[in-house]
Amino acid sequence: MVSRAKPDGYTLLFGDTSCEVIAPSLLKQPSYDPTKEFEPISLVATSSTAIVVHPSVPATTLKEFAVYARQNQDKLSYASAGVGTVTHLAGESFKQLVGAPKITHIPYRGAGPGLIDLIAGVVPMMSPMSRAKCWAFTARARFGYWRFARRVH
Amino acid sequence: LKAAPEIPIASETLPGTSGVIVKKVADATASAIAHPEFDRILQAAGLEARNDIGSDKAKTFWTSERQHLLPIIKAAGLEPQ
Repeated sequence: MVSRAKPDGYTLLFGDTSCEVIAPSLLKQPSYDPTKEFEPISLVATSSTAIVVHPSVPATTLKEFAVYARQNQDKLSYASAGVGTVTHLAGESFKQLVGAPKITHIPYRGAGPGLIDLIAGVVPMMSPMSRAKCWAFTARARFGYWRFARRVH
Repeated sequence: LKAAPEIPIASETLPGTSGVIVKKVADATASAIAHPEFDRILQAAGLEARNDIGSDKAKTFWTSERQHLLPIIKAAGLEPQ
């Protein structure tokens, strides 16, 4: 709707990474091209993702967890809020950065069900959005999802 | 153009939002972001206000995001459906 609206400044889109980058790249025939049909106005705010692990995981820092993940990637899995979500890409980015491509992705229907299984220990790892980090467990590291490469240490 | 007000300017005729409109909304956005109450609300929601505001920086940011995320999407084996 926004891409077809009259370009008079009265119809605005408060977009995010999902609608600007992810969704158009995952559709064969996206209904809009964000690079041509939207005029960026301004950045407003940033949210962060957090790598969260169950207390049973024997690591107290991200560095320790990276080593553990590399050594145990065959039996490690992580939950996300669903295929193609920012949390999914955060998990995939983590796998690439630590060199653990065999970690299994388990997509849930939203962050809530994934968090329940994380708390229960069904999955040992999740990459929820920042507000989720404070719930029932410890966020081992928190970083901007567009800056993994520079901030994961 | 006062001498020919019936002739529309190019930015009003060609597709896309005019630079004047973009600047006006961008300036209003900058004012809102600079407001302490807005910042407080953002922080309460787990967000951080950006200080690199403006149209050009937004374009640069989205270009950077695409360059960063599209290879991850490809490496994850996600195919367009």
